[in-house]
Amino acid sequence: MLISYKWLQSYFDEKLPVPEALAERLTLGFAEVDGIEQKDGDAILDIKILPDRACYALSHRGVAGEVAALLGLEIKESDTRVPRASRKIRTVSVRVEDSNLCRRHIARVIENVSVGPSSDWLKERLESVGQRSINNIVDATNFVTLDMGQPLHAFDADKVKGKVVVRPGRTGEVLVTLDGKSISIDPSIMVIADEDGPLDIAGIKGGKKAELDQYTKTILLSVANFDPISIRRTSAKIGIKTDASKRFENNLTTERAKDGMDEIIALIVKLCPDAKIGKEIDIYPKKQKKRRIAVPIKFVQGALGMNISEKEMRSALSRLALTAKKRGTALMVAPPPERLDIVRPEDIVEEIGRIVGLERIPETMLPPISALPTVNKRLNLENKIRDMLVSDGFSEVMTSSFASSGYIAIEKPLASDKAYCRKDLWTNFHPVLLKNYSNAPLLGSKEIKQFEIGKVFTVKGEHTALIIGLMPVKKSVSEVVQKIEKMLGMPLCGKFCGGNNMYECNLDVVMKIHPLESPSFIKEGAGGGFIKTFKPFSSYPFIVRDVALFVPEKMDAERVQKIIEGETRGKDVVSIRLFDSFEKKLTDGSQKTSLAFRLVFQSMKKTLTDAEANAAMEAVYRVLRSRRCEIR
Amino acid sequence: MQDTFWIKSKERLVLRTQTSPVQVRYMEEKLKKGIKPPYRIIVPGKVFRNEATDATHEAEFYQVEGLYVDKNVSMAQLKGTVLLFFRKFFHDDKINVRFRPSFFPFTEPSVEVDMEWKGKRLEIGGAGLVHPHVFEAVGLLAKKYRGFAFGCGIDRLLMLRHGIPDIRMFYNGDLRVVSQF
Repeated sequence: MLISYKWLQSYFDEKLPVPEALAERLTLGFAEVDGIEQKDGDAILDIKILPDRACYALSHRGVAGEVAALLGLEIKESDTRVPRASRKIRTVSVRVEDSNLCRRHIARVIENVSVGPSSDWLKERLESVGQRSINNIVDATNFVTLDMGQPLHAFDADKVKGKVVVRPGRTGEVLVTLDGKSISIDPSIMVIADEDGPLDIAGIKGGKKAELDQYTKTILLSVANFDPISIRRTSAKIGIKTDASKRFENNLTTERAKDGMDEIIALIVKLCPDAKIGKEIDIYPKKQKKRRIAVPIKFVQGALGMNISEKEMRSALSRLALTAKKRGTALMVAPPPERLDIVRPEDIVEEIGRIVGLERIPETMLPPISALPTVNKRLNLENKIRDMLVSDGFSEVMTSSFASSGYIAIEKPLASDKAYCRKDLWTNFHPVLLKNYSNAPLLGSKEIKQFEIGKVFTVKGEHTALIIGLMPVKKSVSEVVQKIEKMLGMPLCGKFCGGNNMYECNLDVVMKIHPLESPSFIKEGAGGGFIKTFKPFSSYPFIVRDVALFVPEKMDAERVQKIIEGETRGKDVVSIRLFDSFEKKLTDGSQKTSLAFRLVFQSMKKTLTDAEANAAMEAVYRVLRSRRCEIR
Repeated sequence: MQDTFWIKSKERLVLRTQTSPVQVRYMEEKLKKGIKPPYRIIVPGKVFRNEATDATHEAEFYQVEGLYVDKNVSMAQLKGTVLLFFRKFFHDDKINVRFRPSFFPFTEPSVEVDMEWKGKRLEIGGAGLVHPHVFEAVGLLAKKYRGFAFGCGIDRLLMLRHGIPDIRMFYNGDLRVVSQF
């Protein structure tokens, strides 16, 4: 919710900390401040009110209460003077059909208002938090909502015909909203209606029919409280979310509706001094019960793991306006009516914890355990297979769980090639194997050996699969498959995919039969204290060049490698690798050593040309010749 | 929830969005065998979120869930445990942990866990004391037991640990990444 710093300051005599410091304090003790925007000499805080606290904190007053609690400040006493009702003001008849859905409704008629532009201060307040000024009366209702959290609505009383009733809608009824949208009403939608039909979608959006205009003289104020679930469902159904619906669906207290009415009539009289207030018609059949929660002092200390005194607990609670009385070894906590989020002792623990400061919670170690932890049997089996494959030179890859085809379809996929859950590993594994093979020179390898273990989704359900792949195609994985089968002492019952270079199997079948162990051990973290840092690589194509040479006596491969490295330094060579060497016997009985090196050229900045690679190779030849090497 | 992947099926199945359901599953399984707390588990698993992908967001990634249930479990032990984990994982004893208030339906109190490392504050995951509802759901007396639970993204931890710039690199099977480690 957007909160104006200036507006917040109006709750305090004392100067608040600067916005950044205030935001930090709120983030650590209440809710994350997502951003601060400087706007016309004000600072607007975007506070991510947590869902459980939305019942009391979606307002400047709610946030001011948190500021007061966290900083130990006093909130100014309200200077609102509730005006008295005048005599001989028109009355309306209001009826509520279902008091479970409309839990309270307060109505009041105000005569002799004049609708017009708002005062500057009111405009400024609303505009600071991104609201458009409409007219003085509508602005006043919006102001009260943003100020103290109670949604309210003003109808033009002259446009309301006969009795007002809060009731389920009727099939066939249509309501045109204030912003001109036609909404088809049905019995699941609660409306506020007059004799002719719906005036308002209850708790969500006002209708055009009884909209205020410049001629409005008499208004009907409606301040209500609605069942949160019903509001949420209707709001989702008609696709309209408003400041009112957002608050109602988070379960506002019925108790504060009266405060809302008091605030709005006081404000309207301030804006229209000639206004005459009618009698209050308050329909409130089921009063909200007072709650008291018993919290043992030891429970709070135990749950926080902190030696915190009863005095500190009571002080934290009183800062939040939660009254606490001692009874035996427990505190009896009475939350104010709007704190519907507080229902059990754990909630009190949270409140005390965040007010005394979560940073004060110490770091305690767990008690030692008598037995060693066990490793999950399936994971253990997977790890055995992993270890064997890795020791055989295979790399583990992970590919997407989604695919362009399969048996299990996603309702709203991210992309058409991710519209299904993969039916096997092969679908995504195969292209990755090919791509890696095309990069083999970069990886300094002639072949690619990789495997994947992951869940796949078939008509029969999901299972864990293993796939092993080798490139080039002519290679076979059957040897390593046999090795795994020997280790497990059972067949894998999988199948080769295409050639013999790929093999996929269902590990769940293995796990069902295999006598799984769940070993107890603690494996020390791999790497032994050293953390490898990722090295970025180029996304441009690479060029491969080979050089073969006879070396003079006493020159070994290492020396040649050094010479080539020295020559090509700074010339976009990413790999120099000896890939062949042999001795050649000459007719005169002496020996010659032939070496072959593979150079891979690749730039981080551009696509290299053949000419660039050739030029670099020429330089290599030159320097090798100068060292009496014979280029073959 | 908006970011849930729903399966086209009559049962209205979903791809799980977090590893927390494992808490209940594990406790049910243990209780069925007559094994009462203490429980201490660590559960890695793949999760799915329907959101646009970029260098720091993936629609499929890994989380790790931790659960400890015993008679006297505290927020202090939670803090100590995640701190120990971070310090070991990053091989750095100067790491600190900071809690911020949060909300999760299955913990109370709930906190966000931040790690303070090399002068930076990094949001790592969510945690809290196991909500009494969770115990009630599996048939454990909420009055008798307490627990803590935490969950965090493994990918993000690895990205920080190894300086990997793009989360998508974990799932494209590129050996230019894999073979570095």
